[in-house]
Amino acid sequence: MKRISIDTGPSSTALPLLSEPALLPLTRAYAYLRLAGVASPAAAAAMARLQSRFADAGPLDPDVWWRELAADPVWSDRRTIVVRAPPALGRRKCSNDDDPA
Amino acid sequence: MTTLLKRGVGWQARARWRRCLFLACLVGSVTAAGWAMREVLPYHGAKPVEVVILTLFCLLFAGINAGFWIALYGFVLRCRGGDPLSPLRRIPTQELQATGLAPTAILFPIYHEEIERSFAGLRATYRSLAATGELAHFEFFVLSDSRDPEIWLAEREAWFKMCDELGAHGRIHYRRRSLNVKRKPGNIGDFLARWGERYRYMVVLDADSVMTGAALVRLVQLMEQSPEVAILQTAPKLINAQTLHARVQQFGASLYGPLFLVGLAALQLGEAAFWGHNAVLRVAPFRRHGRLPQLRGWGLFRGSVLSHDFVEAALLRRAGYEIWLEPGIDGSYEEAPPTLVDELARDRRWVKGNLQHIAFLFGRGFSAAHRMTFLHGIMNYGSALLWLVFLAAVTLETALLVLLPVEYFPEPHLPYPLWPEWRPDWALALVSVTLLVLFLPKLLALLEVLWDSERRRAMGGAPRVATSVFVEILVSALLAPIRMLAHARFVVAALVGAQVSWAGQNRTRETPWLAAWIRQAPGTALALAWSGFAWWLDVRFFLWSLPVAVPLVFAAPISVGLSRYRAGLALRRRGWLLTPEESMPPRVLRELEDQRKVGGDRLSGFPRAVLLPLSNALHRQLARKRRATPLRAQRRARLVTACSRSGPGALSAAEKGFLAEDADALAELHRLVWAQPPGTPWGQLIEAVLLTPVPLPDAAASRESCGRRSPL
Repeated sequence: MKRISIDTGPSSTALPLLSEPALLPLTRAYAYLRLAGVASPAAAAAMARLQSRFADAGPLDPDVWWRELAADPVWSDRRTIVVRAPPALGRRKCSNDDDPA
Repeated sequence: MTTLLKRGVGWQARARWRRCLFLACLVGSVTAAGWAMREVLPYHGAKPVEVVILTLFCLLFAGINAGFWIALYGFVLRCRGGDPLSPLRRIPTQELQATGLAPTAILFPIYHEEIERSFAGLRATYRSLAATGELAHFEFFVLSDSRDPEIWLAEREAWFKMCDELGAHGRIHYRRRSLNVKRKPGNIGDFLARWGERYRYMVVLDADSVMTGAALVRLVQLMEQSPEVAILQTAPKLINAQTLHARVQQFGASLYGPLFLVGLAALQLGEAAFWGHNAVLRVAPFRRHGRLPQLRGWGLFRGSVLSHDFVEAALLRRAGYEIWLEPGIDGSYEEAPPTLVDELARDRRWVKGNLQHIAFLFGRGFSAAHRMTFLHGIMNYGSALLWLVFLAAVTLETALLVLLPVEYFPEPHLPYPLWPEWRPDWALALVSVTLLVLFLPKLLALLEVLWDSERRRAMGGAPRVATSVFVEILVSALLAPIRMLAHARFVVAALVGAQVSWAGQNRTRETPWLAAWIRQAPGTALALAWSGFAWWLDVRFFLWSLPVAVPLVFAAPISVGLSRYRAGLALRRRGWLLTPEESMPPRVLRELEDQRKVGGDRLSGFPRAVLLPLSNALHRQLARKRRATPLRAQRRARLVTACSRSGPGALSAAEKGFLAEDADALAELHRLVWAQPPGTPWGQLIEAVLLTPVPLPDAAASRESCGRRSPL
């Protein structure tokens, strides 16, 4: 497999690599990690690991990169989304769409 | 606690005196003008058509005359330093500043609004409040009634992003109703039922509202000082106008507004109206007495109350609470509709809502002041129909005079002949008085600005202010007949029971030529026919018809021209139609402007929710946890397959909503679409994402462990 050099700049995920079908899974995996909030050095390191793992493999199945990525240690670097619960309800007598009363 | 009532003379006695004086001035001037009109009419009111003309004239003159006297009273009060009975002046500033605050909810009801703008306003308000150091007393609720999943999914993301930026998780809440029954009042009612008991006050904002922290704090302090007040309404200033249409409205409101508002507040005192937003409400009495009745009549008078705010104020007053308008509180802002089309779309809703108030005019227990508020709201639009009928009656009178021979003895035994008599001197006097009534408030407002050096400079200097007044008068004169015809049509449509759709406002688009011609074509045709008929009848009548006919004939170009951003912004660059909020914007408005410049996302709500990892995680957390019935599981499986194979375009809004409200469906879709080959719909969307620089979140931003958390 052709080796790729991944832009580790912090500002964007734009990767002009889509013209290389063989690289598509890796491109997607990298972009996915960046979109998931993984810092670019960690994402690039994960790519290197994936690339070495698939060095001798043929064309990747679309699902393979996903499973491999989920098994990689970088998976836990994704940003955790935290939603604070709204305040506890008051004494609620009315249904969803009742009048103020 | 000292109350407003205990401070000096009770306001009710002063209100009675002021209102009696106002009514005396109004009745006196309308009687005099009616008498003059009677003299102007050729048969001096002796014929039925003249009786109709005279009656309509008196009603219409009363409408403009009421505005005249209110403005004049406002001018006098402002010259004397303001109304001594206004809440802000009755409570010493030091005492007010020392007043503690109470738990207050800031409500932000939205429905299919422009998301970037709406949240920019909320963000600016939050920052301003944080700067006061009093944030701990306030919580924000974004209450969405949006039904289109593309929009509410984007709202959720905008809310979460805003909380991230402001560090406001747990202080700004988002809630969407799945059933938006009873529209905005139902939305507020839903909040009250769920969280009302937690707060002593609530401040209701509109989607385009902005308020400074200082104004919010002052509102709550005033309420704490006056426990008998249920609603304290601010007078929001218009901001962010860019189109020529909006800039003219904004300038007019900035120049003339203070006079009218001070006069109006001084007449209403503790029986003011509630305008639905930019006001603070005492929660407990609002929950107890603000319940809107369901109209049980026919046609227009059946169903929900559309213009709910006036009715809510009247209900609270009936329960013994006071409602005040305080124009002296700075830092309350809203936006004007950008185009005539938007203004009329809004007016169409308001027409129906205001006409519904006929049902409350003679309702039991309402104060006289609130009955007058209802009547004023009805006449705001009803007068358009009266004006149209007035024009028709004058045309009929002219036609009868020109086409039929003069009948000197309409009744056989009249002792003297009856012939038409023209009194040009009376006509001239009447026109002069009407012009005075229309333009004196504007001249007084102009004088006030010219006298105040700071305000004069802030509005571009004396020559520019004077020129801007001329532009405003010209545009208002052009718009008056167009608005009249549209409002008359809306009134008739409302009375015959035509449905009015409820939609978010357009705040950005210019009016296209074709749409304008189609929309204005009936008015243009009517005006051409009318002025052609007038020309055929009498050249003098034709000339008389021109101020109404010309704007209607050119309604489409006027509508398009006024909707142009370029024209509005060009005038702004030249310092015309300038307001103090533009030349010396307060910090909250500067922040709002900065936030508006931040561009939106290219992907719409649903594709983002499916595709982008962080969006997907967010929406999965916020999705409802529903019992997986076999039917539901079957539908989910079918829609997930269809969506992953054929892309988001294959689903209807309802199907997207179904999937977006299902955490398992979102998770499954997310996994499936990232494995789609490049040529497929989702593959193409992924390519678009990869080729477009996407602003990345700070990975370390929210690795906190509180509340609900979800791994991707």
